[in-house]
Amino acid sequence: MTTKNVTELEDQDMQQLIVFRLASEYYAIHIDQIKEVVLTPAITKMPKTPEHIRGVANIRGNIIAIVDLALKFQAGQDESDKAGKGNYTLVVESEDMKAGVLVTDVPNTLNVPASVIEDAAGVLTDSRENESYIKGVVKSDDQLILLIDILSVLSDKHLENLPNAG
Amino acid sequence: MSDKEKEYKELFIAESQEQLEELNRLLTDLEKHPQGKSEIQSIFRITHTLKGNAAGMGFSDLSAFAHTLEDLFGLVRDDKLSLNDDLFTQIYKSLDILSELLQQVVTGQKVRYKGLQTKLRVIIESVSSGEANQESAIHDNNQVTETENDHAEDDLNNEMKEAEPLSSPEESASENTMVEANNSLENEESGSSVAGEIPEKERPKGKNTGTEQNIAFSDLIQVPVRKLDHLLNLVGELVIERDRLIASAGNRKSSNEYSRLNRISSDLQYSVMDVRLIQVGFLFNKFHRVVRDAARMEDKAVRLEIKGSDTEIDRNILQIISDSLIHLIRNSISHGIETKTERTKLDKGEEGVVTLSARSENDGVVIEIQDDGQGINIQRVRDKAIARNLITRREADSLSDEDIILLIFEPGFSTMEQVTSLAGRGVGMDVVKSALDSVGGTISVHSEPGKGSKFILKLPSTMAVKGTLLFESEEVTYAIPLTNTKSVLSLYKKEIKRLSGGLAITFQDRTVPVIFLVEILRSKSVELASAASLKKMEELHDEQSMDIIIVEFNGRYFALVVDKLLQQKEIVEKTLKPPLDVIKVISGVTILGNGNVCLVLNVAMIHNFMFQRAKSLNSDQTV
Repeated sequence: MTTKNVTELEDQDMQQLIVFRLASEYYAIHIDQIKEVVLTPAITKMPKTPEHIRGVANIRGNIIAIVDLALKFQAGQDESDKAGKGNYTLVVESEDMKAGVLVTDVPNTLNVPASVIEDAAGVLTDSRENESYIKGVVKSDDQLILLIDILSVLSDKHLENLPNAG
Repeated sequence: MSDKEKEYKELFIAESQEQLEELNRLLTDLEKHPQGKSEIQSIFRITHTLKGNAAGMGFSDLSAFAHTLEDLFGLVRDDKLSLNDDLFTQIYKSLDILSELLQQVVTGQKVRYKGLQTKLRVIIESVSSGEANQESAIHDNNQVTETENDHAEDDLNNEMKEAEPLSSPEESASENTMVEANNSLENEESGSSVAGEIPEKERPKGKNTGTEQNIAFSDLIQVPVRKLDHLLNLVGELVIERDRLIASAGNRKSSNEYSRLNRISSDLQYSVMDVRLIQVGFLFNKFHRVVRDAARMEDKAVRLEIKGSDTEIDRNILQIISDSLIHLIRNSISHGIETKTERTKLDKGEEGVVTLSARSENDGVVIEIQDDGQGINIQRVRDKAIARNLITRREADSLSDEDIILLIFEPGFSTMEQVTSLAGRGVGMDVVKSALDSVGGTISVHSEPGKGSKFILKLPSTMAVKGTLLFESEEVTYAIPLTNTKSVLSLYKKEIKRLSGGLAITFQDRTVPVIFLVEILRSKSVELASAASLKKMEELHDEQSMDIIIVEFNGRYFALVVDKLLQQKEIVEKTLKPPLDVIKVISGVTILGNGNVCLVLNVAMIHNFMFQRAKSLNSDQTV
């Protein structure tokens, strides 16, 4: 009885995260927000979009926006990344939007108990503009992983600040 | 019978069957709660509609019978007649008869209904005459009877006359008729239930079908538009997938391999599109009321003429532009048609005419709203545009009359000195234009002083498939709708002239501004884009030719320089999903045979970008 209860408790508390690297920083997205990981298809540039929207691509008949988070977060360019930059695309899906996030390496999954995820406010002292997307910080193997809410990253209003002729 | 008539008939029958079911339902409800006011109201309303529809279709029997029922429920509604079991029985029978009469429309079999109709009529008469002690009421009553006789059948007429002189529908007379009515009704009944006195062959054949009629299935089904939209989307994806498959296998196998797939999927696509088409008449016929109300409000005499109401168009497009049409019609009445006295003075006849016409043209539909009024006063438009800061005085002088007329579609423009309740709030014409923009349609205006004006709407007949021209620009493939493509040219640098900070060519005696598409997509304003285009061209080699697309939108021309023209192609356009839906310059995307994404240009937005003078002036003012 007791053992079973403990397992149940652990099960409920475990969070499954998808971890990926942007330059030298590690980010994580909750697995519920990710539909699939695919090899990045041909990207068509889209006019009148901010720099971090790399364009649109056809993924299984769906045409979705491809986002470069490294540009969005100004994570910086790692020279070694250049060659293989954006090999994979994480397809992110919610009811009202669908987008692809470019990543260099095959992302890992990480199971962590919810208690390990720390509140971001305590860790991040500088108030970067992207703080509102950061849901928490996870420490794993001496790595700091930022847990982000990818949907709020994508649904922010930056796209609307386009030239009005657009 | 033509296809159209057949279609109307089918629709009528389907609708009537629904109404009959509703009547049956309401009547059962009513039987449980005989005081149900709303049920009585509904029954009255439905019988009235049924009568009107039947009369409109020319089914006089059905119409006459429904009319009798309507009268009966009119009395019930006015509390002049109370419902009892006997009456309910009669009414249920009436509904069965109605249902048979409806079946008669299809089968042509004769239905005997006059007995019951006379019986109902007598009930109505007796109620009316019973309460009518005053002479006036009797008089009214007679009038009703007379008008009834006009379009009701002679049979009833005779029966009434036989019974007693028509002049005195008193108790005795009514009773006589009642007896006769009962007799004839019994005859009918015995025909169906008790086989006996009446020989087999004289049995009303309608009766037999009548019992089945109660569970008749309509030949039409109603489908929510949402489901059709979904079906269309799926077909669109199928076509894209087909193209991809053919393109990828095209190198290895002969294209014959796929000809059947090609044909079937094309047939499927066109069938689905066809299902979504409806006749513009469905919308046009609603405008008689709009015209009447608008004319009444303005105290003008206006007649609406409708032409080409059987032209077919995608249901969604018609829905989107319906408000625009209402606005244009009101506009014609309010601004176009003169007052009665003015018209008489001008020897034009008191009654103005607004003509609403539709026709299919190329792969689209043209809708025209024409009035025989005073035409657009161009000088007033010019003055108003200056007063509203839409243009400067100097610009006003240089603009052609056609360009001036186009100003009425600018936001915040209204020529009416006074805001009337119909038109003249300064909203409307720009709303009309943006509605048209959204479906890829265009509007143009012809106006002759004293003779009237004509608004011409060119609409795509379907939203699903677009004929486009594919081209390449900076390694991206774009598509531009063929409806907006006037011509394609290949020109050398020397053939392009400089014009006030930008480029221009002469095309069909017009001076057409030339601009590089990439600069439009990149720049914040048309001035910057022009300057960049100028610079770009200077860097070009003299011998290098440029591919140019002449684009027409709302009567204005402009030329886009692109890298490479590819081919014409019918595409299935998909709209942009969030977060990309804010990009207005691209109306949608499609997937090419090679799996790559192709961007479809929104010509309306590029046009607005090119000719945004009015807007930039406005914003200068507010600063």
